[in-house]
Amino acid sequence: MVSRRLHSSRHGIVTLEFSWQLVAALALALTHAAAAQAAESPAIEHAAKDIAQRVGPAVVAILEARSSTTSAESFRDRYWRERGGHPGQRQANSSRDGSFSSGVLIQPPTSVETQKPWILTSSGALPPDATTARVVLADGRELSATLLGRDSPLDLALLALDTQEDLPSPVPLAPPGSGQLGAIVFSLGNPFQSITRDRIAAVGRGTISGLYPMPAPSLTRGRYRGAALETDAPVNPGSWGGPLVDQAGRLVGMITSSFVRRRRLPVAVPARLIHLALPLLARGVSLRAWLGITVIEVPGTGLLIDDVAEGSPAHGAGIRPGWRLQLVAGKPARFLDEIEAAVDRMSPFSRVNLELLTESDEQRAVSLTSSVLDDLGRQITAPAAAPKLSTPSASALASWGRAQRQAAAAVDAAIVAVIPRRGGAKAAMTGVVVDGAGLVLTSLHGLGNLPRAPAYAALGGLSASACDSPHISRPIVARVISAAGEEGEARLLGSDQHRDLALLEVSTLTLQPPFWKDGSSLRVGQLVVAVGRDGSSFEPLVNSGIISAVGRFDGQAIQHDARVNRANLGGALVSLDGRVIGVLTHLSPRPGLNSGVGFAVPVWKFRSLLGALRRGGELQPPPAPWLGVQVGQDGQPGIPVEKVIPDSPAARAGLQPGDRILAFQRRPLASRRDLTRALSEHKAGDEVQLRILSGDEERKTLVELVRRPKPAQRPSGGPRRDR
Amino acid sequence: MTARAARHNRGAGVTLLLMLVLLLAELRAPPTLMGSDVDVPADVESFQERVVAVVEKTRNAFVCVGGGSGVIISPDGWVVTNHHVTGDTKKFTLRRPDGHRHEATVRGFDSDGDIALLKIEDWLGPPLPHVALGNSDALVPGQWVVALGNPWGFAAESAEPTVTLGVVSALHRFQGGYGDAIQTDAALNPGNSGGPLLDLSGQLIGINGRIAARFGERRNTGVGYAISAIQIQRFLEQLKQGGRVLHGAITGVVVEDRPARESAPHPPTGVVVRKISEDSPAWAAGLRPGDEILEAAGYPVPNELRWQGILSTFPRGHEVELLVSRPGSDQDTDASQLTLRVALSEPTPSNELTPGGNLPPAPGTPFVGLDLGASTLKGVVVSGIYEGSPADRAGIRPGDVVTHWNNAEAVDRFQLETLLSGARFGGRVKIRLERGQEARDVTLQIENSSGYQGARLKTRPTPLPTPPGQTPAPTPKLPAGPRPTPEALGLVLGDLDDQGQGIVVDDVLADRPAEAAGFQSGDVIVKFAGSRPMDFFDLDDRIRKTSPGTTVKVEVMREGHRHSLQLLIPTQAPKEREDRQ
Repeated sequence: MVSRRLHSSRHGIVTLEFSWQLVAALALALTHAAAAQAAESPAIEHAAKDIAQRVGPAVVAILEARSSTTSAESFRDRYWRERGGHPGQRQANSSRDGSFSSGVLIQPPTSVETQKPWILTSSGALPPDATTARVVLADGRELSATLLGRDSPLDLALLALDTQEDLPSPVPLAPPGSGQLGAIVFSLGNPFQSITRDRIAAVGRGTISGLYPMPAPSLTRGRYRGAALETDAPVNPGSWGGPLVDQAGRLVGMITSSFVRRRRLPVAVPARLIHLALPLLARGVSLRAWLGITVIEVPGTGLLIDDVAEGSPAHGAGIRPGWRLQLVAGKPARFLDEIEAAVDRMSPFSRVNLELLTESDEQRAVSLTSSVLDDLGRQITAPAAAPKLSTPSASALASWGRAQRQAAAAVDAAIVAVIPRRGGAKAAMTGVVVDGAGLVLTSLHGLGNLPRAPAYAALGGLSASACDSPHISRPIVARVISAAGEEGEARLLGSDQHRDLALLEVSTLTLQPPFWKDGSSLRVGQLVVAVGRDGSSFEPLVNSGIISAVGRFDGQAIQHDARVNRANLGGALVSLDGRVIGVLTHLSPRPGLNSGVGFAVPVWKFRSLLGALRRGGELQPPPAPWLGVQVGQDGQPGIPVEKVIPDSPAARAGLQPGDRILAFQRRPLASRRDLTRALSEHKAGDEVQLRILSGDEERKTLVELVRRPKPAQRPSGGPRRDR
Repeated sequence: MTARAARHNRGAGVTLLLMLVLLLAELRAPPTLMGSDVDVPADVESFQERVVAVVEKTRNAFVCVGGGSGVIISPDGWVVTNHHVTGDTKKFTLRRPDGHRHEATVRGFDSDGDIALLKIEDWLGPPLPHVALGNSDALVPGQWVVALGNPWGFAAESAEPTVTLGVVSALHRFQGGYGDAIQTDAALNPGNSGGPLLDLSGQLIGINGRIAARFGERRNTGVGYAISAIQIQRFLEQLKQGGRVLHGAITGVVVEDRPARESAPHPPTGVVVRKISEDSPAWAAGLRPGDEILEAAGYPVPNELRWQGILSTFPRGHEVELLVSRPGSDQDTDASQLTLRVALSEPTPSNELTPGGNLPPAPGTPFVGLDLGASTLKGVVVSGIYEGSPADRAGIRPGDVVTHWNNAEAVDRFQLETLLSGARFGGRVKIRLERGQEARDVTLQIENSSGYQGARLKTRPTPLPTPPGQTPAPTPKLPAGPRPTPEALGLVLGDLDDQGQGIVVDDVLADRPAEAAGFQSGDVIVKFAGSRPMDFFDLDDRIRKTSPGTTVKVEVMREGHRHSLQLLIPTQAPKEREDRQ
């Protein structure tokens, strides 16, 4: 703790001198601790190799039962498929890759006696009528397996291998309470046929980036509806059914093909549900969701609740016999078999919304969490999710995970969910509290098209104190939900198009800002986390990354490789010491979602803007510089000037049509693009040196770039092709 | 309640609040439940230092090459990048993060292996920052790696590379021309091509060149492929000498995988020689049908793809050692193991290649007189014809496309080369050709190439177009010009409608294509270009991906009826928002 304090910008040299001894003592203590840990487990540098080596062999590919596709496939298709795809056909084999999935040899729980080795995979990996499957090991063996049981709502299938000979050691299940937010995990599998073609299980590194119940089906893709363990480890066609393992090589989840749309990050079935499901799957039974209501069909009346079991979820939610069922999960409840089918499709421990009519014809909307009955009809209570903070673990990777979790926890109170009025839950994103008075920074882009009331545009000149007066004309653009679950309406104070920032004010909530990071200590390669808040469950989201570059967009932004998507856009980039480096914004449309190229506007950049934004500022990009020439395409040497706009900087510098611009600020120019690029690095008002070739004479001249004049001021003619 | 209290506070005394805020800011009182700053564990800190150190050590060896990336590998200025980054351009201005610029020329290239070697010309200055080529064979899956690159052109302004961290996901992956690819989950995106993949000691272990796509988008999905450093090392001397290099193959041999077995393979198995031409170098070296090749150049050969992959990491002319298991003559005798040395086809003294990129036919090999070039989606282009050869006599001309070879679809010249090399002299081959729209079958007699040494090669007078098959997975160009947006088309989109059928059109702007197409506000877009939009963002994305100048079919629900509308995407979309950058 002391060591961190030293880096704080405000506690300057005094503290540093004051606690030199402390630092030394602490460093010594840390070295000792590190040495002790190194003895027990590999350092981070080697830990991932260790996982790949131990778990890799137990990861298998599952072949779908061969059907007509094989024979229908042309030679050319097969040729390219086997060779990894035709160079010109990007998508040619993606669907075929999907017909391979992954699985893992797992260690059966001690409570179950089994003779045969078990393989866990995704239920979706097998055809609906499958009873057997073919399994390919990384050593090239192709083995047959029998389907023991499958649980479609949980997307689990359990296979028993028909052989026991010389198998790699199975992967143990992580304890039910493991799999904490921020923990380092690894995905292994057969993506793009790594096992089936190249005999190696591909391993990818990531973080447990979210733990939440799956939101409404309209917000998700895929059929999994249970509790979600989300990760940013790579998952690709063919990975589904593969294991997600923790730092100790234990299975913390099974990868499904489902995901939340605004995240687009893979979701795994958490180990605690696998623990519950496995003994049942071994007997061919799947976990069934249980609400605890008995429904009868009464002609003319509809569906009547006949009985509510004591202690059941329905009982807990206040449903009483005699009520009538109207809507189940948004669908009208008309017939008994429809309801049965609907409940069958539910994942255990998933949330379901019911609408009922009470005996006095009152409308009631009830949301309840389904439960599960075991074979003997006893209710199984949902196993506890992982606690927010872990027990200390000796592993170096675990300490990284813990550091990520602690860093996220340190800023958690300052991270809010922002649900734009436009787009609603689909567009839910994140904001960062920047001031105790309820000021929240978020991404302007994520708010969608904003109302542009002239009234609020005219507020530009108001002083800061005036902002505290009633906000009649500030538009409400979003709902904000705090870490504590409190909700408030957010008004848009100011915006910055250039840096994609929007300053919101939530006057009804008490919000506290985080610690801020001092820019001087930032280095490329430093470990960071991107922290957001899920817009449905309001759980934190934690994605890991490193600083990729420090001075993007003229030094306006920090670049990092943590996954940024619609949900954590507007969130915080946080260093591992728990300080916010900046706000995640959408500075360029090019990289898109989750590409590993993300940007954050650092606090030392936006801090100076806050005043202007509070006063209702609408900041625009700085004006582009203008030279006032139209240039031709062909170069060698330099680029030819075709036209010089009168009264422009170029004209003042004496440029003539037919001249060639050889260099810009001593940088040789070879194409029109070079000039555009060179100009884009300057701003209006800069003086630059040009090297010109007129006729046979070469000369140097200084030009002061100006702001591009408005179209009306410019001589008429043609589109804006001049520079 | 707290909210009301807070408001009350503010109303009661702005000064007090201000003081409080100032106090909070000054003291940096813990604002969160977790309390104050978090300690970073020592082992995490030391790992972080390791990553930072790699970046500091290597960043100045990074260069921007055109729209891609590259890396300096020697103090005198040899630079490696992807061939698909340089294309046919020969001269580049390389830009280094420390602001230096260097003029460099492409000295050698490897279009199959996607490598180009550049030289910073006449470098007389101090030794250039560079990274040493490491041993990619020593990599282990799970090992940490760092990638430097210029994804999406963001390094264009400052040449400051983007640094991403990942692990080695898999090794020895066969990806066509990338015969020995390193798979990594370090984020790679268009523009990373040609950039270095480094281990934590800062050594170059690969050149990033390809990514696998998901969601139909060319962006990082956690699967990137790099060309292994060991392969680059093996070609380096030839690349420095200039021109183009060719990858190794053992011609005249057809191998196949052992059938999949249930039992564990002890010892590990190799590939079995099914056919071998008696005129081939491999036959001369002693390889026979039925032999099981266990190792090539010291690498295990688990399957046919790896066999091809191993050989392709060596240049033609290189001699490799094969460890072969030969079955005993009868049931009682054990298989014997022997080591054979096979040269990977003949080296050419002049290093002169045919227009198809082939070496002139080696003497004593099956020959029909075709010089084959690039692959197209139809088949393989004939780039030249040897004068007087069977192909010449049959009237085949340069520019014809071979679509079928003995009724099998023609895929690339390597496939046809292999098929031909396995054929016997005097045999016949049936070839289907396409010339323009016409298709015809010809039957050629297979002769011995010894009779045609020095025969003139007839080629097309015009230079061949750049064949699409020769540039593996080109980095897509960044979209040029304005992209259509819903607003530009005149559509103000809302949310999913109540029935979840589609996206509601909130408003239709005047004088925009949507109005012309007949959109009305309140319409529900149920199909866009043939499929249902999932949500607002999906539709927004898809509209942005449409190509200017095309017409998109859109189905809408209006008052319970389905209407089909034709939406024209204008070539010059009205500019709605400036691209922020």
